[in-house]
Amino acid sequence: MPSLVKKYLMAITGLVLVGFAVGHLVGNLQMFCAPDKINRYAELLHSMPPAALWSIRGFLALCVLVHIRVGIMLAKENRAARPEQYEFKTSRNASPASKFGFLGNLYMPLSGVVLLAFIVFHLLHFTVRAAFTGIVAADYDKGGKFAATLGSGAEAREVFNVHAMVVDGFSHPAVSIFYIVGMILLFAHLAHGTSSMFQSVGLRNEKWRPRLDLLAKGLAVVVAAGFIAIPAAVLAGVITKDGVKCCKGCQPAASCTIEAPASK
Amino acid sequence: MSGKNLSLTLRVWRQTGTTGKFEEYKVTDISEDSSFLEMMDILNEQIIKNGGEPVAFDHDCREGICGMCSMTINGMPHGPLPGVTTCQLHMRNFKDGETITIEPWRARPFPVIKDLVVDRTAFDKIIQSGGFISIRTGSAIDANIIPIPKDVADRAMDAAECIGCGACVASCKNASAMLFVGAKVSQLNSLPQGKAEKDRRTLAMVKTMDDAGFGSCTNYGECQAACPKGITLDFIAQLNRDYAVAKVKDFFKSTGKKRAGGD
Repeated sequence: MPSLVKKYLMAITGLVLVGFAVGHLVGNLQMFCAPDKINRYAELLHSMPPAALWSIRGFLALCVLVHIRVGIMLAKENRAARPEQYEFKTSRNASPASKFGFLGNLYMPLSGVVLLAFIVFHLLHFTVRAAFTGIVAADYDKGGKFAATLGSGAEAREVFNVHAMVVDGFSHPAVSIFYIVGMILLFAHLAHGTSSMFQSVGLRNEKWRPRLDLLAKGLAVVVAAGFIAIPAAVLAGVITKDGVKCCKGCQPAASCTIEAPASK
Repeated sequence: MSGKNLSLTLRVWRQTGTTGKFEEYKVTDISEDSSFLEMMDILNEQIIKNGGEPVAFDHDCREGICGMCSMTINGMPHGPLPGVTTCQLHMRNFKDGETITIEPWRARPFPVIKDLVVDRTAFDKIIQSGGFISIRTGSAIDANIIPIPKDVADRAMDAAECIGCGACVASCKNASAMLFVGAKVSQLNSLPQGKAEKDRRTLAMVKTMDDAGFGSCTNYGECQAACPKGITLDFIAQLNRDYAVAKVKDFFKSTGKKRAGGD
């Protein structure tokens, strides 16, 4: 495969994945609303026809696989292109990646590998709900002890309680810290990648390069900070199973007094 | 004339055959006004006087236009001063008592011939595969017979500034030749005389570049910072654009024949 085609593939799959990350973030930030809000959203997503749901999942998985496979090919070729390293290593450019000159050309591959580990853990944690992560899916599902009730009267129905599952999931400091570290690496990856993809397909010039670099950094900060806010807020006790503490409209005013949580 | 002279410690890469090592030399009384290559000449005279083998290094015009000189000085191709070749780098840019590490260009497609001299045939092969215009030669035509807008001519001239020294490859973390190929492709693809062979040229030059074993572009921009001629990443973007268009056209091109076994 020609080297430029590999770069096109990295750029296009990267764009899809950045788009997914932004959409996923917007959905997740509903954790800062009343529990019903995100549970209703989850109900909507799960009510998609299975064919549509699995097409989207399959397409995203394909993008991830192509991004990884081609990334490995590029990293290998790039290592092979300089068999003997310079003794005196230095960088004279100010690109975000060059700030980590000591990593040489491993900046994107290394942040990518950690992100892959993060994605695998995240899927096992909240999508597959593997036993070792401490999440018992049945507890949150219809009929489970933590199931949520949406609507009232004839409309009332039990649904999967995503809100409670996330709060429980992030109540383990080690898990939350791993999420936060993963998201810092997402920042590092996107700060370079989101601008670089424009250059790879030829849609950049010296006038737009600083602007796109700034936009990429801005987007990376927003995405990473947004995702970090959720585990951080759960650890800090701001998001509880009842919703956000002291958020007017989220909870009855009575529960909105800051007190030490009652011991269980 | 200028004031003080410099005493320096030089760590120079010495290589014959496939392996090399650093050798340390001391030079004294180097004028601040001498060029880096003149300082190397003084070092070599000193080595010869002591009965040693002089350091082999590439140089030709010593005016910054031929693209022959090629030293990585303290990790920076052509040294710390932006926009100059090694021959135009003066010793006033260094401090008295400084240790300077001098290495060859390091890239698989640029094997070391001796000491600091590398074989840049890979660049010649890229040019031979498409860096030209196939046109009947003869007496020169009138200069204004083909109208070329000023901004297009200026842009082509900016690309044509590339002297093919290889500093872009040497500075790139991936030893990629994209800045060189981008400049050469853009120069010819921008002008009416070069447009006729645009797609064939772009595909062929990228293929030769890949076959030579250069790395890929990671868009860090080290090449642009190292280029003594100020070639910008714009030309890499243009190469990426032109290649995408050429590839799509090539994919759907007519073979001019009916499909074998068809109706």
